[in-house]
Amino acid sequence: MKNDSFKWVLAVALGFAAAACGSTSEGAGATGGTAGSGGASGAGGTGAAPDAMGYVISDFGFLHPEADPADFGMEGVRGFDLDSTVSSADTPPCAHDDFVAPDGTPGIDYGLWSFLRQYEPLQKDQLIDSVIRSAVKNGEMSIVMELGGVDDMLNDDAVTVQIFSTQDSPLVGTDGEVLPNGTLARHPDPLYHSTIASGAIKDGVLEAGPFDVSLKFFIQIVDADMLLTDSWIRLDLGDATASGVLAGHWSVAQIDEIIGTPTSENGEAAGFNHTEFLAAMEAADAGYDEASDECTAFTTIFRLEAVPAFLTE
Amino acid sequence: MKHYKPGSSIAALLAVVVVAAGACGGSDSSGGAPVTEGGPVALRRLTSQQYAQSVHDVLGERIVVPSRIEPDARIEGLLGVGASFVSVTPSGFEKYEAAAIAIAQQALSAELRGANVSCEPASPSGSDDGCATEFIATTGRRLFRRALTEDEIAMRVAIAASSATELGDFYAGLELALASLLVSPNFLFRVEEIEADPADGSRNRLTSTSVATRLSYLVWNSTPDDELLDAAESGDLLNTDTLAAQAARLLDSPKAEAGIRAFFSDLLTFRRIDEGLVRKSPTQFPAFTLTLAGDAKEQTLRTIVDHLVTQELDLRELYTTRSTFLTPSLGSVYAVPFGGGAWGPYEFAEDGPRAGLLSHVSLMSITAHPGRSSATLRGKFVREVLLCQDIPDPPANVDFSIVADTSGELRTARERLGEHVTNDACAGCHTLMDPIGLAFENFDAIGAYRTQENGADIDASGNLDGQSYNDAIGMGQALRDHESLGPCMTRNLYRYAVGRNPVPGEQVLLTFLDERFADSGYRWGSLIDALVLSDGFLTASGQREAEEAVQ
Repeated sequence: MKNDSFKWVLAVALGFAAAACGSTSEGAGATGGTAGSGGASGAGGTGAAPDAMGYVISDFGFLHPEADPADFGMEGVRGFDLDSTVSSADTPPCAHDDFVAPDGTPGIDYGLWSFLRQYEPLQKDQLIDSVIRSAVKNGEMSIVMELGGVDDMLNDDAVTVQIFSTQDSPLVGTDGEVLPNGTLARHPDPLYHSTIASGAIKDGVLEAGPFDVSLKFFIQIVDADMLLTDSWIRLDLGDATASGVLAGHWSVAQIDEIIGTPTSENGEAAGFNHTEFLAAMEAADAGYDEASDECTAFTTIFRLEAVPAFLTE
Repeated sequence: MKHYKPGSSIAALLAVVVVAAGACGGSDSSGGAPVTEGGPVALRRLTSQQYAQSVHDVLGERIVVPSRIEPDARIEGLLGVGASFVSVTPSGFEKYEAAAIAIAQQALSAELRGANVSCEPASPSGSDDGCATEFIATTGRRLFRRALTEDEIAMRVAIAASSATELGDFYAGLELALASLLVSPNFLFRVEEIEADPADGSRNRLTSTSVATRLSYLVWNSTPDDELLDAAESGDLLNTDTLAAQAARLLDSPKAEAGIRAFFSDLLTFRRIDEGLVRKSPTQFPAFTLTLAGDAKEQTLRTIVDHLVTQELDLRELYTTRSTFLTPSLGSVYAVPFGGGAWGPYEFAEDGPRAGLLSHVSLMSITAHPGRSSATLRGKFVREVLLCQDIPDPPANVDFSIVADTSGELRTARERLGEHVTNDACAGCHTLMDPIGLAFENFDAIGAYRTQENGADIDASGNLDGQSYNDAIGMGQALRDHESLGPCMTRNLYRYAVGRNPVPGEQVLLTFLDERFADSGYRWGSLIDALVLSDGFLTASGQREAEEAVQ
């Protein structure tokens, strides 16, 4: 997958951009939405869909498999083989064991799990997970996504994905969940627009990549950028939602800035001190730097859920 | 906001008066209107909105008016009519008293007294009868909507003086005097007084101050200002030219928006939203937040004000217009792009499913159950509120189980309600309501658009008294064209203005008013003008007997 040529990506991107310029929804030059007048329809039936579809991320966080956290048990890891190699702990540089996908595909990369699995505050529904889940709903780390070139929600061999930060807060309902069909503006700074991923939809599952995702957030005291490079995304496209995973490379330096330092400053609540954190970072499984002979990044998998939204400038 | 042009429609009406008077013997001085006698007058308790608006107009917008006062009563579909049939309970009086004290404390606080008391007391720590008299007479006139009698002033000056001396604070004394004004029946009730008509001793007319009060609460939903009271106390207000000019002045004021909002809020039962009575299942309809409910009401009121006042358009087109105003939360339910965080104008798409007030979240939510839509409630609303047709109450032993079971074999409301028409006891009324309400089945219990219910396609077609339609858009057009729509609005505004249902002899007047309304192209200002100058507004048969039942 990662061998896609740059020229092909660029061509698709330019094509997408041209299409996007002409795709406006009812009245406001926005893309996306569902069901209502002038909006897109969901999957199902013929699978017909409008060209551009907007979403707002309604849930986001590190992937926490439900099964045995030691090896993900039989469920496997719903990620990607980011380095196109079935690796093992004795394969330098950045030696690491890979995981197996639910369909049996080997070589799934999720190096950060070696750190996440060790500490209670990093587990599902604990401190970090809760903070991130809240942040995507309250505007501290809100994210929107646009699917382009979608002719058929079930099977389409040429679609694009682009992810943006937004300074708007999603609308939240009485149940605390993000409501569909809100209108949110893409971040005005193009720095927080991802590159455009190209891919396809097969049997209602979209896969696209590689692309670089740059997000801006300001969660409590942490004002930071997050860059996920060489990323891939997989989404199950439902009638009213999209859910799946976003996997990519996250630098140790940013992990320290965003999680390591702020969390370890919370003392016992963090469950680890900064020295322990830095030790855990030694297990980085990607981003080999020849000059320093160090691995500078972790392969990371985020789970995400999204609901339809209208995206504006 | 664009306001009525001063005297524009009044002037046109007066021109017609002159022509009509010359051409037709027997018509009176109100534009060819039939000579009728208004029905009985009664004490009309201020609605909670009128209470708050009056306090704000007299004592300043910064006064926080307590909301816990005697609740309003809706009778014959209007709080404006219910106000004529309610009194003050002992517990209600306690609430009014507490509110009066709270208001008086604010109005005479160090921060606000400068704006409310025009004179300086001789000493802030003692009594000053002169300054107290000036304040009580001036403020009391606005609150009582007439000049106070000498006794009414003297009694309160004495209260202010003794309290100021006792408390060593002039303004503390004045607080008690102001509170006594605010708990007086002369403030809490609009006292409509009548007198023999000097032009026709066999008839009664409202006194000029009573006319001023009727006019002010109709147009502003608040107490008359000094200029209107001056015209009333001089007697000039009973002169047709003066009345027309004052009506035009009030209609041209920015305060007129509060008046039209109050009427439509009353008619469309928006108080239910204010009081949190429009509730939806939070699990089924998480989008129905308090913010959304408030925005929904405001959307409809903004649409009405813009359509009728700013644009001066045909009232009937309120049911077909695609122009409206949105917020982001409303945009989410309507599934249309609308960002920015503030109110803004919006045009529903020509090929979209929405047009007219009856496609708004507000009315679709009010006329629905917490967990499902209700074709019956929606049909009843159209018949009763918009067409003024009576629908009898259901029998006490009616079985709603089939209609309420949305998870059974009968998947759509049309299928479930079909059971009603097989039951003779139900069919008589449901055949009047359900076909109308089914036109709105594409809107769920909060007004969100849907094409299916329980997986079955929704059929929104129907027929309104001979005019067929395929969906809510067509239903809105059929309603716009319905012969009863205009007369019903005339009747509702008349009832709101005089605080009662029309008496039999007034039907000829209503017919005349509706003809004038139609002649104007159903312009709101023309209807107000014609109504205000009519005998129904200015005359009365007498005081309503206390025991008299609702007509």
